[in-house]
Amino acid sequence: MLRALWTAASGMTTQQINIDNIANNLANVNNAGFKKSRVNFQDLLYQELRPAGAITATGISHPTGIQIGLGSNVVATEKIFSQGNFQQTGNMLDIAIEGDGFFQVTLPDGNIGYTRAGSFKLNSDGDIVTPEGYLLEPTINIPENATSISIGTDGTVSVTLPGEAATSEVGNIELARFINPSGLKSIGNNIYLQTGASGEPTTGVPGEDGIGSIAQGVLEMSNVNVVEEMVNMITGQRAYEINSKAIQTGDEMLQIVNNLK
Amino acid sequence: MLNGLYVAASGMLQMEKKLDVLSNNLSNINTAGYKMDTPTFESYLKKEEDFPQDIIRQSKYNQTINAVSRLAEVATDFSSGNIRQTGNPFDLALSNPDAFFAVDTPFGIKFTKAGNFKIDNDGYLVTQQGYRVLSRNVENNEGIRIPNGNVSILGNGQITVDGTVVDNLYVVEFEDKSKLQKTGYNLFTAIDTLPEESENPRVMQGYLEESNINPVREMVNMISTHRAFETYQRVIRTMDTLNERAANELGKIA
Repeated sequence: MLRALWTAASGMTTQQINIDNIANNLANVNNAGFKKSRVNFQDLLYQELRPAGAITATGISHPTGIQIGLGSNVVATEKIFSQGNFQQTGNMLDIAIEGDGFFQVTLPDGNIGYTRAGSFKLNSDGDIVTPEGYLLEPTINIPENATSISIGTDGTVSVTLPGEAATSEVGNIELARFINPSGLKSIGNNIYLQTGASGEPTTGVPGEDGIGSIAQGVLEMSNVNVVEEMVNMITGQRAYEINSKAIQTGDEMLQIVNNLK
Repeated sequence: MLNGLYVAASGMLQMEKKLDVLSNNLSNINTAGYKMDTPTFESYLKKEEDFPQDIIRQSKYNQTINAVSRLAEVATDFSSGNIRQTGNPFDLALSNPDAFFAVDTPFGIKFTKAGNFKIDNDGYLVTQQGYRVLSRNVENNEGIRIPNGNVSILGNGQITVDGTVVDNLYVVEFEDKSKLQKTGYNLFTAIDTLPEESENPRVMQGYLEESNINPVREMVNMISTHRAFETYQRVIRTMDTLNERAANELGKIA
């Protein structure tokens, strides 16, 4: 049967994955710390009907070959770690990273997860935790009677205790940085895990060695750009449609063949 | 039987191949750096040089009536695709339509227009498939290792991290691009031609070259393919009717 049918079908399948990805980006448009992903495509194999350089009966070699491509597929979905917009919240435990880097949190299974979502809370013991209750790593405990918390751009956390004029330091927020953040694995809840492709994390003081600095009272919003996603959605839909037209044309041509006799 | 039948059938077969090529173009409408393919056809008849003594083959009549059509080549159109801003530091576009990135693959050095690169776990600049992008420093060509820091890539392919030059992209051009053959995975192979280093690669960081498919053109092509296919079918049916008459009516005694 016609190669074109399967070729166009592969195009429809890739566009379907493209739309799935756009839908996920749009679903997380208001999710603090969310990073959009992008689908990357590649062309598939080529069927060689005549190799380039083949010699004809008359002894002339063809300068170019005849190759027919067999469609497209998805090669990777890639997280784009561009900076999201900042929103002033005034909440003392809303922390944003300006630049590269991730907060480290301890997951229930003991592994370290990495996140950009900086809407932290305190748990009943006074430890800084994510909204899911995962402890910030290294653990920072805020004394029960602290009247205010201040976090410096270098991650120093200090508190004011009642009756004391000077602030006292209770810990430091460390950030982790990856050579290839696009290789991190998303596990939901805005948390990423290290993989072979992301490389080992290098931890450090915010604001040094290429690690971003910290801003208190600010939340990093998602970096999803609605206009861009809408345009991607429109082109994705049209690409899907045009591939379905190719299938339809192929089908009608087969119908013509069937009407030959 | 009537030779025209085979000529019309060859036309149908070629239209089928044309649709295959069009479908592949449409399937890759969102593939970064994809270049459009165009099939061209030729008429084919065993040439007189092959059979110098054969008078019938050499006759103009025979050449007009019996030359079937066949696929001559699938040519790739290397014109620039749209260049889209993405803001991703490792998305590189070559706004010079003649320039290609050189990539090291297990099956030799290949060339690509798809500049959606990333960094692998050893810190090398790689394509989405994981093949290393080659550096201009050909003697020691292990790829381009990019240390942590603020990466900025200049128009001439120079890569700087925190203001220090670390490497140069190996961007090449070809004298005859028709000798580039597609290998899939957004790569081209150079057949019987050698790359020359591009003097003006015009690398754009944070931009990505999209495919150069023009959907309107492809739609029009698809419609004309469909209609041509239909026409050949009519020709075949007409000839079949003629044969039917010859078989059933000519010999009839009234």
